[in-house]
Amino acid sequence: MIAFENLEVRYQAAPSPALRGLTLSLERGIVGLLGPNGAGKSTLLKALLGLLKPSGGSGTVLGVALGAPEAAKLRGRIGYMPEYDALIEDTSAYEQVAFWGELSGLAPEAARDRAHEVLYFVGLDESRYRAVSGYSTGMRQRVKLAQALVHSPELIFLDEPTNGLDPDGRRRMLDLVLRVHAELGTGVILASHLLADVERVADQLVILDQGEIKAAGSMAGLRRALARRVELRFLDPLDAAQEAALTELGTVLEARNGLYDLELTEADPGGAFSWAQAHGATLIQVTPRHDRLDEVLLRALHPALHPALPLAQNPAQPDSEPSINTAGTGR
Amino acid sequence: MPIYAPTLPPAPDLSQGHPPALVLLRFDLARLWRQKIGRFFGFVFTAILLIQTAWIYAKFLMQTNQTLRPLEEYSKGLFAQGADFQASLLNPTMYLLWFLVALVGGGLVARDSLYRVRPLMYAHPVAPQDYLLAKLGFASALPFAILLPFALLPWALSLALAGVHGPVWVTAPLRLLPAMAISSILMGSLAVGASSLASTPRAGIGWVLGLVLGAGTLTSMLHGLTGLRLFDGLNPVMLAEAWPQLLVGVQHPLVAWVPALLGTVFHIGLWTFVAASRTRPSEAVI
Amino acid sequence: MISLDRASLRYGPILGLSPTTFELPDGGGITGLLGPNGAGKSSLLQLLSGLLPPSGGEVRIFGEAPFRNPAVLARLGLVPEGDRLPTGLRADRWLRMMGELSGLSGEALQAAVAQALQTVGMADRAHLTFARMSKGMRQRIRLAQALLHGPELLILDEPFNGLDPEARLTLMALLRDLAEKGTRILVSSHILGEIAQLTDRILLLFRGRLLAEGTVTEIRQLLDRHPVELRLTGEAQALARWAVEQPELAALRMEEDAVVISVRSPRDILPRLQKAAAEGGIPLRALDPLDLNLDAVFQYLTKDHA
Repeated sequence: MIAFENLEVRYQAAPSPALRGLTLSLERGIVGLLGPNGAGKSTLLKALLGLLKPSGGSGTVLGVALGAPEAAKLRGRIGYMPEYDALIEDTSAYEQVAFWGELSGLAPEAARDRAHEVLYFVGLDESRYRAVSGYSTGMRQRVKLAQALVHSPELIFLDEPTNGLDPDGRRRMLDLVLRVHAELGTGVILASHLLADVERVADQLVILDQGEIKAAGSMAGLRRALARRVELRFLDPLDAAQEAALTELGTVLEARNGLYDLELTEADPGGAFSWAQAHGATLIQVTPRHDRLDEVLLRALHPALHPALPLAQNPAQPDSEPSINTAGTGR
Repeated sequence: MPIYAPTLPPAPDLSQGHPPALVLLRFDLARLWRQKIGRFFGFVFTAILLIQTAWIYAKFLMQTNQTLRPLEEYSKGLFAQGADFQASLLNPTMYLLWFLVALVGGGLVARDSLYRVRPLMYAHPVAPQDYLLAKLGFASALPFAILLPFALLPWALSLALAGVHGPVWVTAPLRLLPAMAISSILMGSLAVGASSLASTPRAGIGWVLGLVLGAGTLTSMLHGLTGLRLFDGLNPVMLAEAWPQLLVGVQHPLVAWVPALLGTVFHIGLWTFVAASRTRPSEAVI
Repeated sequence: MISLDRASLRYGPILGLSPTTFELPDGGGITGLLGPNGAGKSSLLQLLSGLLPPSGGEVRIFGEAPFRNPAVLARLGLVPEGDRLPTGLRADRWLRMMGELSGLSGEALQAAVAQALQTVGMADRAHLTFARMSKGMRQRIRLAQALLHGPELLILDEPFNGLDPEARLTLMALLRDLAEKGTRILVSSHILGEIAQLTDRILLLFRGRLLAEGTVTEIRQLLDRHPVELRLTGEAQALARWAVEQPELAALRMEEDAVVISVRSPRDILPRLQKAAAEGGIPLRALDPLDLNLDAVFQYLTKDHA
């Protein structure tokens, strides 16, 4: 889908390049793009769209060399969902999606048909005929996604697509992203500040900082399985004696919110069951420990500061009974 | 029997579309038509047009009807039917037209800046030239389209009623149409340039009106101070009025040929340049 | 420390919070206040921080009503939602201004500002103006402002909004640190993952009502209407043979080297599973409860009560 070889991009007036030494190869899939603000995400996007010509190195996107005359045509094959609203407030969703379709090169009639189809795909029904100024955040995000999909691009770039959405809206948006890739075969680049979103949908990861790639590769490859590390959770909180006895099993590296991160003395995580059986505790979770995405990110951004994982003990939570409100008026 | 999953059909043909500039222009036109101000101005200009054609018909009646002969003598004394009359065919609309251009044109570029739509346009196969062409085209075509019946209807009416002897010259459109085109492009480029400086549509309207009135005040002050009529060539309102006068050959036009040419080229060039540099893709912080 | 007794909040005819009763005990620790947009999070925080009086019922913090009560307000710190600060102002000057508002002056003020800046790790950058700071830095200054008077209770409304991952992690580490030192912290968010990373103890609001309160594991166990999904990793065939003999089994799905079982009462089946695994009766390598996370709990709760 994308291959860069030592790619460098600079703005005309800028003394130093905005992106440098980008060497990258991405397969068609869902790529999570992480990095702090100003890391070069938008410059990368502009280079992909052919708005900026590379000043060094080479790159191909969807089989087209960047900087070649035909790179301008790439824009018809890429969809872009901006972070900002970028909606024409006094116009209905249907009209604007059709408009964006026409701008991508669809004939007027085809663009109108296509606008309806895409709006159904993202789940925007009757409200499509109303001006978007009255839309909720979730609806706006869906119009923006529809706009990016209307011309059936081979690659879409989503910038913070779950921004401002509540849990339900967020889940639906991420489901849509997964469907876009699974059903339409579209490649997706997802830039997000929310690691959980990236973790949920992405199969590849690129970490960008200060114009350089700090880490890139498949999600599975970057999130290594850690040897002899296991995470344990128990049905009931452990008492002090049980907690102390955990050392028989291995070293407790971290204990947070009832989740114990252990380095086992033996290779077999099955030993945890015997331990629990012997000490009168009941396990509800025994899972091999992988790198978390935040660990991958911090390690990539600050290789010197984070050679190992942060070790922290969480304060004990005061005990109190849980409750679920079933009536509308408190307990 | 197959079961069709609710998903998108295969990719459509992307080569059948219209040029981006045309799509953009059509979209702006559709939006103007939906707005109340579009309908309001449509009504006002139609009303002015009807009055003007009725006036020409009345003139014809006065010429042919014997009982009205004294009245006709009287009106001849009042209204000369020479070159001045031809040029004034467009005049009653000019001030109103400036106002319309400010109201509609002021928002053209500013609205896209406010909603940050332009970066998204440049992420589509739209070149900055397409964008500029569409906006300039729309802002210039609007005054031109409104002036068109003001030149053609009186001419057609006069030709039908009185032939070559009518109050409107047979060759009037040949002189008026180029004048209208120049004035319209002047208005359009000024509106688009001013709009590109603003960050909201309302501010855009203010920018256009401010620039037009500001330039007018400044040039008449310079004229007054230095006594040089050359400075009137920089007054956009006078320029727009002067072009029909120059082309029909009025004896004492508002602005003479040379300052009019220089001033028009200056304004169109300046505002097109401003608009172009304010809508470059590098400005698109995506 | 915090107690609400049928406290409600209405803005004219509009419901902010239905009559709500709950109690948070003394001591340190972080509690997450969760809910979708418009669930009543901000209303609850406004009641707690004494910005508005309850329309009905009682709110008590440290045993007193917080509304216009300096005795309570002096003991709590608030970091309101948003990122609005005077852009041209230097952070340390702004902090001194805010400190003066809390009644500090002279040496005490200097010391408090220095201490708060130290805590949030901004001591060396406090001379910058807000315009030159990143969003994460500004958020830390806002936190420092709430810490100036050494509050026992810290209330933060959507503090992570718009921060990049690193700034988010820094802020989380900071909050954990404060909690460890004995500050009670209440954090609201509409992003479940953030809260899950920070704490296990949550208050869940939905449509102006308090829906649940407790740790995720505890709340999940009360949701007995939804069978718990467990992924058993190991030799799938043998695991499946064991699973189908269990009376609690509601559903079973095979994966490549795992089976996913839905069970009605995990309290009954888990000890037996553990016993079998410990005695070598079944080849179990890993046990993963699939819906024991905040997302699943939230989804079940809101679906049941919608």
